[in-house]
Amino acid sequence: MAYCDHCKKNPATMHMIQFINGERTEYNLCEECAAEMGGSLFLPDAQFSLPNLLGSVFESVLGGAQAHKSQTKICPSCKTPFSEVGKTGKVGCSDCYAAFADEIESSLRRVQGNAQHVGKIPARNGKPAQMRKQIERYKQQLQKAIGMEEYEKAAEFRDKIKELEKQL
Amino acid sequence: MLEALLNTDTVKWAEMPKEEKNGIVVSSRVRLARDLKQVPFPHRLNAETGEACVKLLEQAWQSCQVQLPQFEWKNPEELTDEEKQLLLEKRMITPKFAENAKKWERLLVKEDGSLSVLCNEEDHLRIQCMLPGLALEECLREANQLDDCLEQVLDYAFDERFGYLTACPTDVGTGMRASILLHLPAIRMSGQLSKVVQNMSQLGLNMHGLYGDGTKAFGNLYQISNQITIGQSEKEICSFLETVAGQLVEQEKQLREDLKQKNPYPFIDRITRANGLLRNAYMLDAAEALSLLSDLRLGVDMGIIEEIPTSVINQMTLLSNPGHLQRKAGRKLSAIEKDNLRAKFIQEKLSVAKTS
Repeated sequence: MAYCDHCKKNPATMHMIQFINGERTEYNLCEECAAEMGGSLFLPDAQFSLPNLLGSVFESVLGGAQAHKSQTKICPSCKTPFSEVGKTGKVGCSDCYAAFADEIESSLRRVQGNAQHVGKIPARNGKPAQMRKQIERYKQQLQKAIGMEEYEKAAEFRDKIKELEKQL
Repeated sequence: MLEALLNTDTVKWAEMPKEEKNGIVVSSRVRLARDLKQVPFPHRLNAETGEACVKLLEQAWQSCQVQLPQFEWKNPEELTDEEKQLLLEKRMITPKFAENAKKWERLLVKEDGSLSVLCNEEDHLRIQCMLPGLALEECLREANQLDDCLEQVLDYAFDERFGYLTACPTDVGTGMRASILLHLPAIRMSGQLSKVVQNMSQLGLNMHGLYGDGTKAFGNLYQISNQITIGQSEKEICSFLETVAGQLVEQEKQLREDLKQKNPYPFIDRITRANGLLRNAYMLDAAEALSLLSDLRLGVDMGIIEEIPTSVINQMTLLSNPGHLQRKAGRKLSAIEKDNLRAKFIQEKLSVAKTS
């Protein structure tokens, strides 16, 4: 049985390859020493860091003069500078989304292919959004009703749209 | 209440799935990120704003308490390192929460471990639902219910264009990350794993090992999850993920049959050998236990060895983790003792499964 290169006590159960400044070192380690040296078997959800990746996308999306202008932007609410968002991949508060809307939108388009939410809308804080969505649905039904020459139905939808638009 | 969950070798997602189609899909998970308006995001909180934010969240939880009787509100300071390790191994908290929870972080958890909310970790709220088998829709429904409950009281940051506003713009939109945990030994054995991982990223999905990383996952347990969070609805994302998982299951099944047909003797030997080792070994290290349990799971799925319930295999997998081992032993263990007790506890589980 091979013993751990580090503690020389326990049986080695893991093989670790470390690169430091391009220099390759291999170890046979026991579970405990491996964990100490930063390599553990049990690391649930170990993912490479997406935020940092996003930071670099911010940089590549915003080339040249626009980049310079963006770098100097600061969120009026939490005072987070955009340069920090580029570095950490995190915004400081919900108002940052308005302050850096252009930058976020273009990077979302690049990374996610889209920047328009179509999913769930919160019941309370999303009321206007929900009403607008409902109006859209009624408008489609209105067109359909007109197409089918069901004018009574169409009038109903028209009234519903008017009612909702008044509330907005 | 949480104590009872911590004392078991299982958690909701590791139990028997409602309808067991095959043993390949282990569990499903949906996580919703939610943040509040007019409160700095968690990484910008300080002692003062952090305390105020916790107060808001705790009040919201209290006003929902009638609707959520089986939940418990926990300050990580009340949890020992050992208890946090157990929650981590049950996949209910993140390594960051386990190791380095700030004063203003909290955990809201359901007694069976199916639902949990991490407060002020990456986002003000991260609502998570995990269930056994292929059950994303149900996970989404349960997470949504809890979300709706909390939203009655809390002012969520929401924008018509960007959707739910999250601390990290990579979560913005639905704020949802859905994932499915699969057991894919044949894909790994046939050398197709890196190709599959590549395919997943072309589909806008992320694939990585549950234990270890993408290419060297111990126990052949892999998680696929969505990368896209905006421009698609929650349902669309979930059903796409389930479709892809279904294709992976088919591919895995096909490769299992191929492997068995091509080399029946070594293939069956590998499984019966794993069964023998698990039942007789005096010491099992974590990597070996996970790999043998993977062979066992494969053998049961293919009818090569007698039926062992998925839930028991999941329990043995959980028990291979250091926290669960030490909890069951009731003390801190050296590495050698861990290997010995891992073997012993697995044998206990297997002998009970046999007689029942």
